[in-house]
Amino acid sequence: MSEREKILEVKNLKTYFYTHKGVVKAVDSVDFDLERGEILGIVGESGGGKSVTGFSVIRLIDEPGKIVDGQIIFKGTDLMQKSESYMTTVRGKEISMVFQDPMTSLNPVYTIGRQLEEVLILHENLTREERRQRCVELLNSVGIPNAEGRLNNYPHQFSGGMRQRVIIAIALASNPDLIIADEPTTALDVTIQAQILKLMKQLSQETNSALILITHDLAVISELTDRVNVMYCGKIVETGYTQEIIRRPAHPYTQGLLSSIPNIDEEKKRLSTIPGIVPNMFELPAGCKFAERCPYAKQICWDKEPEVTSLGNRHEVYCFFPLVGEDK
Amino acid sequence: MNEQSTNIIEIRNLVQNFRLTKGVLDEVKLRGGKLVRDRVVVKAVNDISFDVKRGNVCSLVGESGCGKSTTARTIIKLINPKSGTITFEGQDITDYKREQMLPVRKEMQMIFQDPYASLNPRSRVVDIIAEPMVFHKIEENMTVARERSVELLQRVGIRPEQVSRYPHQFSGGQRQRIGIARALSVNPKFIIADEPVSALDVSIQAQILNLMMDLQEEFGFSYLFIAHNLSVVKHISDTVGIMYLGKIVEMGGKKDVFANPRHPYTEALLNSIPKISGDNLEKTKAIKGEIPSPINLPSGCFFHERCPYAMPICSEVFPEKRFVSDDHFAYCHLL
Amino acid sequence: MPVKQSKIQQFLHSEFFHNYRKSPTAIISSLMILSAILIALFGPLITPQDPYALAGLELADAFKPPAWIEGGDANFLLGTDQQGRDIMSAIVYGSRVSLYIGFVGVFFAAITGIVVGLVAGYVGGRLESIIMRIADIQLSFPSMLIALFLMTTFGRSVSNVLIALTLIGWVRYARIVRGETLTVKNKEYIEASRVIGFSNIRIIFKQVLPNVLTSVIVLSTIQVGSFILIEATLSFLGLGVPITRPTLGMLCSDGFAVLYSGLWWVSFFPGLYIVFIVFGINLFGDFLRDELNPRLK
Repeated sequence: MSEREKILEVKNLKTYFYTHKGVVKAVDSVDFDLERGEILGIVGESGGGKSVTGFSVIRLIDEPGKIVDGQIIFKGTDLMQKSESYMTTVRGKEISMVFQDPMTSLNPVYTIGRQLEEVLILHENLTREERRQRCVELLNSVGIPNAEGRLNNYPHQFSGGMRQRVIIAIALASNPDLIIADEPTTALDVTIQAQILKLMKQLSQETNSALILITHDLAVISELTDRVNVMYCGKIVETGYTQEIIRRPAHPYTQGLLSSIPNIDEEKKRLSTIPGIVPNMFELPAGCKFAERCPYAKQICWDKEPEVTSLGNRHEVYCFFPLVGEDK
Repeated sequence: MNEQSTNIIEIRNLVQNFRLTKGVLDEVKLRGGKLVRDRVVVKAVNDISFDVKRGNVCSLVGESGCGKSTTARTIIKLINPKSGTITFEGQDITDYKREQMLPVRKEMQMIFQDPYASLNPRSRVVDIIAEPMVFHKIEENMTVARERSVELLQRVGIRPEQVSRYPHQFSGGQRQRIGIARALSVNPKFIIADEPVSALDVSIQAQILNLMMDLQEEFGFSYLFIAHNLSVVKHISDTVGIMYLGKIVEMGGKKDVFANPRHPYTEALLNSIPKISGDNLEKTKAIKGEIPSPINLPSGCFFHERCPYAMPICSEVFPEKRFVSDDHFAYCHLL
Repeated sequence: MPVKQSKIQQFLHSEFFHNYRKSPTAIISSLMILSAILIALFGPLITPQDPYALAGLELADAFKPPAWIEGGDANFLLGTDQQGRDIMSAIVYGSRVSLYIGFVGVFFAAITGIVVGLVAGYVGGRLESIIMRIADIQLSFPSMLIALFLMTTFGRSVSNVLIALTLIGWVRYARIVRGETLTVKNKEYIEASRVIGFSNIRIIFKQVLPNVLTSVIVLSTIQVGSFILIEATLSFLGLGVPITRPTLGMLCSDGFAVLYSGLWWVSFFPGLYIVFIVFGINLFGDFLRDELNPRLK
């Protein structure tokens, strides 16, 4: 029983891509919630559907993709029922996004001060002086030294890590209720990544914005998120509190992911792997999508898609033979 | 040719740099009323020395700008070093020209990082493996070479029915396997792997790393493994070297370096890695600052601006090599 | 899943073909080009006369207007010129030479430009600078001026026209190919080839070249149209191919003399056909350019 207010409820989300080779069900019937101030992780490998989920929440899906079904209830309003012009008032103000590649997310021909201001001009009613103040505050809050001076710099004058901080500042500019971060540190160096992750966690706590963190890195998920959805081939296979899932994974895919990560604290000669490769998205098998790579698959797994099994304490798994039983 | 040497590769005082400007016209600037020539040079590799023992896996780890990829490309002589020596199997190949390098190339191969750019999109996969065999006269003609290629591809996990396909029909992990097969096609003694798993998904990374380890056991070659991820490197290496701005700041046996890091940068790298236990970032202090540009190298020890233990001498004098144990050394004034 | 599809099957399932079928401009323009080629190849078999066999001409047939106009003759659908030549037959025969010059001219210009571009891009350094400066200098001169100069100096002949077109046309190929070569040469598969030990020549022609051909194809469609027009202009000015090998441009030019006497069809139909061919080629070139634009993985 959650005590915090639910800020986002996604029900039965389906986002399909209609290509000349066939239909790709990038997100196929996904349900999840998010509470105010919570950090939710979406983890999975390439093609798992995690980025598309993030883009779908903010309805940034372009041809040949289409959100074909589902409800996206944000602060009580179903965004799927709203027009595109309504969405433009939501994007950047109530829900903002941090993209993966800091090298291409900023417009190279405008100063970063200008790009920060744009958000404020669009969504807030401030005087010029107030805006400038706010820009300086924002840059300070993301840890950019000499903020005032740097407002007039261009993106190429910043390093990758700095640019990502600017992008986070832009995302925070209008005090959004929800930030969606799509692989925000993947393109960064390890030491810079550590800085940015710490920054994001701190800011999320300070501003009480909810954060959806999309990544393929389970370690990052473990360090940062409260809860996590594990996705495979467009479906959520397991969801629950992060530390719980990491200690006691219920789905064979989650277990496989955990054991194939080279762990710096462990001594292993050979890494265990998940055999095989991700299925062809145009020819997904019937039944459980993970069956062909699952060491525990039985006949029923090939025939039917698993339904949700609740293990208590918000831990849910979509598997006929979960690896753990219910919590007491 | 010294066959008894335990080292397959010896690097001494290797230096590599690049001019960013393209010619006189770009370099001439007006400064203080006078025309001056301002060469912008990227100092990628700044005097490094290390050995790779026969049969070993030696890893070089570092972040962007540390020069690890440039080191790899210089050792394999895709670019000629500005100074220093490269000794391969007892031969000094530093100044070897193309004809002299040809027999050496058979012994020294490379696996590349980007599975989407490392295979010629217009060649069939089997030909990508077969052509080097014919070129180096390991096989007589393409027909025989293709047969052997099919076997080799099978060994790395590509099924025979697929070998006539083109690279774009394979996944990233499969393309990387093909790249590995290509490196093996000429039976090299030494393979440089430049971030071979960085572009792959986690579960595929594990498969490829296992494959690389199995192949090494089977064929007995030596690896120089370039990576930015210390965790990957821990599993497969015998020796680990940490690079920062073109210098090796610490190097030693894997167990030593990981259990007992002596350079503050190594310590910082270890602290920065997100751990599955979820508590690393909370506990440790993230290192401050950005990586300086290799165009303007800091004075003294390159790391002094970000080092939590910096002393005055660190900004003035570059530290000497200090040995912590027989084969574990670091460059730090604290030692 | 089929193991090895034949090349044709692969093509029919490709994205390229899928987009081709979906695009009306692509289909129409390719049909336009196809019909022009077929007319040039097989037209002479069905035209009522060979307009260049002087024996078959009858002055009595001269100055007939197109068949649907009063005074026209069904035998001469598009009318006749001042010598009794059937305009339609003349167009068919003329288009053969025009298209020949267009395609062959592009062929030579492309080969020259590609080789120069590959070498400049791959070798780099001073050689590249010199070649590119030459290209820049040449581009500052209007192509027509260069063509006129060459034809006046060296006289009218088909081969001279082809030489002129090659000298004009290589530059654009060289620039595009050099640009693409710069991109390709830093790709890891080229590095891999160098690590294996392949010679530079081998790498340039067997590895780089196949990967820069895409832009060459697009450029070539545009160049064919452009060369046909240059040749037409030259002929119109009397500086193209000799009168014994008439082209569409020459027909326009001949008809120009009688244009003001009211014999509009002698110039009009050849001109219209030039427009038809060039337009079709350019439209198809547009489609190709969008299609062959490398998609990011």
